[in-house]
Amino acid sequence: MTLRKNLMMALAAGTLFVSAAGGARAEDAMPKEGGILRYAVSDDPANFDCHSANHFAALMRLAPHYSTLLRFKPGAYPEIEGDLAESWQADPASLTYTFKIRPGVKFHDGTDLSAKDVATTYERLTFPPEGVVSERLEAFRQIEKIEAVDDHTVRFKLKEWDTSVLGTFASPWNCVYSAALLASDPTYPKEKVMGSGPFVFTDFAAGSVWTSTKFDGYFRKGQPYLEGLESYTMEGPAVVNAIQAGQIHTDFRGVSPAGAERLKQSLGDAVAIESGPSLTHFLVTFNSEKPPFNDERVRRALNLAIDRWGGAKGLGQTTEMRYAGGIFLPGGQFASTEEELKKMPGFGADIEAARAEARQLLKEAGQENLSFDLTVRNGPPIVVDFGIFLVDQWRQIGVNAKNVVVETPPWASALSEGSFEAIVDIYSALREEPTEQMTKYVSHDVSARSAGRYTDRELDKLWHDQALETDAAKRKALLRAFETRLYEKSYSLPVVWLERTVAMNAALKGWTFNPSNFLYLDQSSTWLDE
Amino acid sequence: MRNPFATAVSDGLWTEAPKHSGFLHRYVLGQPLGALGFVLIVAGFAVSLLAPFIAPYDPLATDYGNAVAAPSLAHWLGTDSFGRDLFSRILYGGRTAFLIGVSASFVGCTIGLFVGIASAYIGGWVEMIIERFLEILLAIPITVLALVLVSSLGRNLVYGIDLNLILAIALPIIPKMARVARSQALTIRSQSYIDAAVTLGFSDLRIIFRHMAPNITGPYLVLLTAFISQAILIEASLSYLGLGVTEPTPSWGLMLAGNAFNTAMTAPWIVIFPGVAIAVVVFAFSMFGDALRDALDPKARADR
Amino acid sequence: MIRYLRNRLLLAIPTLLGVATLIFFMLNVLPGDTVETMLRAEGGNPSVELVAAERARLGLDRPLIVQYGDFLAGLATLDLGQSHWTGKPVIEEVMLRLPITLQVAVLSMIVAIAVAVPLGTIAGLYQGSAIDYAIRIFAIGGIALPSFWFGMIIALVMLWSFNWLPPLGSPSLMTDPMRLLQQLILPAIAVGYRYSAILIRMMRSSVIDALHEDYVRTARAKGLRVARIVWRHVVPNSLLPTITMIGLEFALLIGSLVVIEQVFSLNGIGRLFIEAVSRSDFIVIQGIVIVLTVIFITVNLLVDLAYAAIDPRIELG
Repeated sequence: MTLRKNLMMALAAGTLFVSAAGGARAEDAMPKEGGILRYAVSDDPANFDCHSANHFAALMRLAPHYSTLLRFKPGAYPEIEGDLAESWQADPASLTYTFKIRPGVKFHDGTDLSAKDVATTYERLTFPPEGVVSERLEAFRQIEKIEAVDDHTVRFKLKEWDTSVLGTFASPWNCVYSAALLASDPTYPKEKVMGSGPFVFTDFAAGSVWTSTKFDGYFRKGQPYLEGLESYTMEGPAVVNAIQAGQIHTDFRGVSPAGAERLKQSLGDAVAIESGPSLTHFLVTFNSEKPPFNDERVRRALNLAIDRWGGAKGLGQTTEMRYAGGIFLPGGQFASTEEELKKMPGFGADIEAARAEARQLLKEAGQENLSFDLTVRNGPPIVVDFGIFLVDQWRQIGVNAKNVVVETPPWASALSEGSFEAIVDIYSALREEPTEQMTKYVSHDVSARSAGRYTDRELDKLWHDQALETDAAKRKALLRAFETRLYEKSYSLPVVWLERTVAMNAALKGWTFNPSNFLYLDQSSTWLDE
Repeated sequence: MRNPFATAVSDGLWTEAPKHSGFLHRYVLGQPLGALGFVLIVAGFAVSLLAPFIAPYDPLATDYGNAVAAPSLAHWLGTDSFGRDLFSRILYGGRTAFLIGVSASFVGCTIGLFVGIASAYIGGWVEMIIERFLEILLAIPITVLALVLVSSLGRNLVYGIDLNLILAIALPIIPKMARVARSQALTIRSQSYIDAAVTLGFSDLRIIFRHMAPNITGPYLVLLTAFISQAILIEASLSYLGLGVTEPTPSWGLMLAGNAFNTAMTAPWIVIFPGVAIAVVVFAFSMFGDALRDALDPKARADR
Repeated sequence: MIRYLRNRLLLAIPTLLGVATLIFFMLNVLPGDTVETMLRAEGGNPSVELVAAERARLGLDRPLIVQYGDFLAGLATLDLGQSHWTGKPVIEEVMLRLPITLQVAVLSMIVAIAVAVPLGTIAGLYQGSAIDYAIRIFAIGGIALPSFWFGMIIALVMLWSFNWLPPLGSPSLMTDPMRLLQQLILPAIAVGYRYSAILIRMMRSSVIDALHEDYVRTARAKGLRVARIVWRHVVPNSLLPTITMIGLEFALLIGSLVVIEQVFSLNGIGRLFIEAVSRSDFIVIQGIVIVLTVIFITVNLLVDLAYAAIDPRIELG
């Protein structure tokens, strides 16, 4: 198991780590058929269109109804396998990806799914027509042309070669829609759920429950195992209560450490808890246009003052903020090892020395009495907790930062308009893919994701080069160079990675634990041992 | 007959004009619950004010090694999930509660008082317009109106105090006070000494401030007290919903927000103490307010 | 009677119009709307053009006064506009959730009355005794305990001692009333306790008033049994002001419901309201305020009518 290997690495690296039941647990027995899976989802989707959505809560509802071109292989994260695609060919020379579509796949309305549906879907994602919102433009920026060569072949032509695009085809967000329905109404997916996934939509009571039943015509024979799904809109302490009372099997997003602890105590063996680093990290971004943050020394001092190792250890006792790490998933295939990290600015093992250096830098910059506002989004409570942590860290080098907690809209406009001094941000990635992860940290004019309003062509070049690099070792070296420069310049700083803790009723099997909130949500191989 | 004050105070009726003759003495003797409330208010106010001297810890200082610690000699009420001392946070949370509760109620009642008097004194179309406007405000439930204001005004922090939050809680109080003030003022307006003042050519402002307002002190104080307890509850509810006070300002409602209830079984102190703190303060103000009303109102006193 | 009703309804129109105007401008004094909240929900990064396009699609780029006219015109035809978040008609979103809120409201009232009438009567009859003090403290407790805290605590106690929680989903009153009752009883108790506190005090002082009335003295003088006097005269007469109180404090009930629905994950109008607030979905916020105001005005009207129906001395006109 790659995941397990990753986790072992993290363990060996000395990262604070509790337990991982492992992803293989489910495969031990033959899946049983039947049963209704009940789970909590934190929010309702704004509408039913996967392509315009970006919240995992929407995907938790929509994923079971759709197929994608490729997918992450159940029980084998992060391996990718074909979903609608039977096979595929990557040809760097001609800049093309060619996919063979499985024959005999049916939509829920009984019509056949062909290459045309796939091509039309990707056309909609890459070049959205008037009135259609695509959240995936960034991911598909390298795609030049999409064509259905015949009924079973789709070909993508790229502008420039990019190894990371393959993973994009496995993104659960890229639900394949029916070309025929899209032709009559390009916005049909907003109101109607109709795909070729393992479950057929039956009903949605807004604010309450979303129900679906098994699709008998699903192209994977024998799947899905479950008779149906019921997902309830609920969040907060109510979720843990409901798992404890046996009303729901789980919340795939995970529960808080306190919640997990409570379930373990009250349910014992009747609950299975899996945990590991999640692909979500918290970062703080300085506005490099605004004095004194245009002074590298000031930013660097603030970077050095953050005790990432001690912080993760302390915060990790009671919150999900459990792993110190850089811009890549700690313990993951692209991350620096702990030794490498400890040599980088802000990650040193000796926090006292780092803080002394920080004070010195502030003195040199003439900012010994630095005080500024840290803009924090009044989102999930843990984000506010993170703001509290940062302010406390900076206090220790005599900096007076103040938490300014604001609602999401003003926070969002501060982020996009640069009307902040320092701002707290969250980055949740779908998968471990450096090219995508690094868009958060390249120059402002290169990626809209980057909020620090800086221009650093050296970072941009490293980012660009690593995407083209096919040799794994050389690519890693480029990634290390990128990280080192980023932390030295301290424009925008990764601070802590969250732990994902999924507490499941012990009867729930066949679901694959993974670091992303977005994967394995179609429930095709999930089953209940009841 | 509909009692004109019934809409004003959430928890009882005001029936007659106040009488001032030495009620303090009767009050303490005849109102043990009210006296208890008063003592609790004074005590609560004192410890909040003196929080920096009493609190054993900085309410914002985190100590992760000591997170979710049970009550002990070192931490009398235990610690929260950041290792922050709950006792210190409750003391400082008291400051927030008193500050927001008292100032919101004071602002709302005072504006309401003068709006009410002015409307009764000026009369005519001004009175009509004010009345219409108040009626509109009264048609929207307090919590709902406060929430609308919170969402539209955003935050406006001055020394860590959200002025807009105070405004949001104060606004719904204005029409309630204004109503009472107006009907009291109408009675006073018809008294001969006001006519005398008008004849003597005193300015309108002088008449309103010097002659009319002091005579409405009784109902004003009663409503002020009653609305302090409501304002504290609304602040707690809004903060609980994540729409009121924000971290790191200690607030009782905020201490119950988020995942606090998840720890309720393993660390009950985290949810019990802030809830008790809210209850005690609101309890104190309610009892004091009731007793004040009874003491100021001869008819109500005769009943008890 | 008919004329009275007509006049009251006519008077309600300018009030509603005023509420609509007030809320509309309150919500629009500051910039910021739902578009960015939605597009940035989970690390999304919309381009400036995308935000502008969405805003245009929702009509948010039009001058405020045009939006206001549009809103009023819609109001005249009972059209509250479409949620910026889901794109569905606000009236549809509200109607979907209204039943559960009304059901909790009614159940809370029943709980409150069932508690308040006997306790208030006893406290009034034994005025000044230990039992009177106990009941008064119980009543003040209802006002002092934050209902969200009380609700959460009773839910945890039920979970802890009986491993029982209110059922999930949205059971219907028609097909599954028992399940609905199970779902709503805890929130109704949490809100009802608070509500009952107010009614207890009203009932108590009314009973005290009634005991001093001439007819009670006469009845006593005639040698009627105390229980009979209380049952036949004191309680019915004290119910009148208590009923009025139900209407007057209805606003308080709504306020408590907004919070308690959040605590119990009830899919009611209060939860929709909080969601709309956190999403800055102003259309939904103003729609809900209008609906709540209509309910509030209606309840007060109904109370006045009920009052007149019970007490023949009251003449409406």
